[in-house]
Amino acid sequence: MFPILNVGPLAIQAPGLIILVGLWVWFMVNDRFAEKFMINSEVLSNNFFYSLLLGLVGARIAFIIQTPRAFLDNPIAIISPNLALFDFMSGILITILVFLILTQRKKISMKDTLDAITPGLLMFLAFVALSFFASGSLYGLPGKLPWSIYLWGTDRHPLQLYYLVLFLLGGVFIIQEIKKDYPQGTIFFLGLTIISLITVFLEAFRGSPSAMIGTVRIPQFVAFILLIISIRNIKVDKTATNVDSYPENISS
Amino acid sequence: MTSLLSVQAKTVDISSIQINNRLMNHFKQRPTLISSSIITFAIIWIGLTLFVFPSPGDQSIYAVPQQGFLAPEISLSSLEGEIVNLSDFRGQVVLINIWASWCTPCKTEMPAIQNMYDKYRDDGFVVLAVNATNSDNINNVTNFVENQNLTFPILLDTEGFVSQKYQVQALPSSFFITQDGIINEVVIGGPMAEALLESRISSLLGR
Repeated sequence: MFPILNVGPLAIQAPGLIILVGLWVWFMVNDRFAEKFMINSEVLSNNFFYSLLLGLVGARIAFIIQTPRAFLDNPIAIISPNLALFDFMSGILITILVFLILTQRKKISMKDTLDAITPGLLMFLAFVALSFFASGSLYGLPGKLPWSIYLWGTDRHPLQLYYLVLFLLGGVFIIQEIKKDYPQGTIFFLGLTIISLITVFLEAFRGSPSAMIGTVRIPQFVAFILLIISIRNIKVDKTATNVDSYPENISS
Repeated sequence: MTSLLSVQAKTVDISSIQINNRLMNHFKQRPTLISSSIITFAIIWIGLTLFVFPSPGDQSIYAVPQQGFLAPEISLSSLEGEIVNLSDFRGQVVLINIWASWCTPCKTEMPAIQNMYDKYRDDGFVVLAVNATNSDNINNVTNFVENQNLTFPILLDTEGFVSQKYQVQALPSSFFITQDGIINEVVIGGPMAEALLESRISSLLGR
């Protein structure tokens, strides 16, 4: 656990720094794969950047809407750099929405775009897991294993490292698969299948508080729904492209 | 020659597509088997999670400085010489703020903390401002408290035990504690905006 990096007089928040590095890696990986899908990498990067920016603004606005009283006496706090004054879930939803709208407006193929950003997404999620490791959050259940880590009073499953390793492996697998000519959208749904399967599996080892309905863990349930949707779409895409007739079409 | 090259290129292209076609056909023949296996595994695993794995979040038996855990006990002398224990405030919402007089963000956020204390103390809100006295000077601490007109308890961590117990790596560090003595949120660094304090305290007090 290393929440703070002390560099001279500066105390840098390591989790935030790791997330920023992860976003930069995602940008770089997008650039690398945009060409394969005949997408202008500059347009893709711009869409990505504006979506993140508007997502950040949206996350602050969503927080203000939820707690308006907190800002009535201190309206200047609207522009406060405090990360705790953002509603990150709303920010993520707004980022996705803006990205989809921008992609549509620029008349770029949605499926190709989603395929192109999938390897970077898995890499980014690996960085998110590392940032959780740095902050000590998303910790695992207590357990005495040869690879347990001592965290928060006892030996635990290194859940953040499980996520890190599996997302990295998933990313490597997707990078291998992206070189092949799959029908549009398949890479994205393959990536989504991997992410949701990892979440369904690893949520069982979670020791940190999780959103629950009764004894059902919400992240695991949501991941299961996404798993079904993504698997169904992989199938649909394959039949929709009519792969059998593809060579005939080319040769004619 | 050019046409021969183009024919060869086309052949290579088509053969690579045919290889992928074979792969796709392989999947096409067994999509139900593969996807059914994955979904069956997921359902069994979710069942195991429900009935075999312990529930997450029930970590209150450990007293460690992290969200969701019991706040480690504090027993320190105040600036007035009284012994103050964290456990004395069970049933109230507590903000532990670890600070030093030389720390600029600590100085910046203190008026906001004082405002919140004035606003919510009657509703059951307490501030325990733990001075990292082992890295501070008692005269500077006294001057700081007088200049800022602070009225909440100022505790002196002369040996640095609390900083150690709360794993303080940067000043200020703040811990929001529920009526049950569980840490609700940890804020490392500062200054905290008054809006942040207002939102968290009012939420913990159920307002």
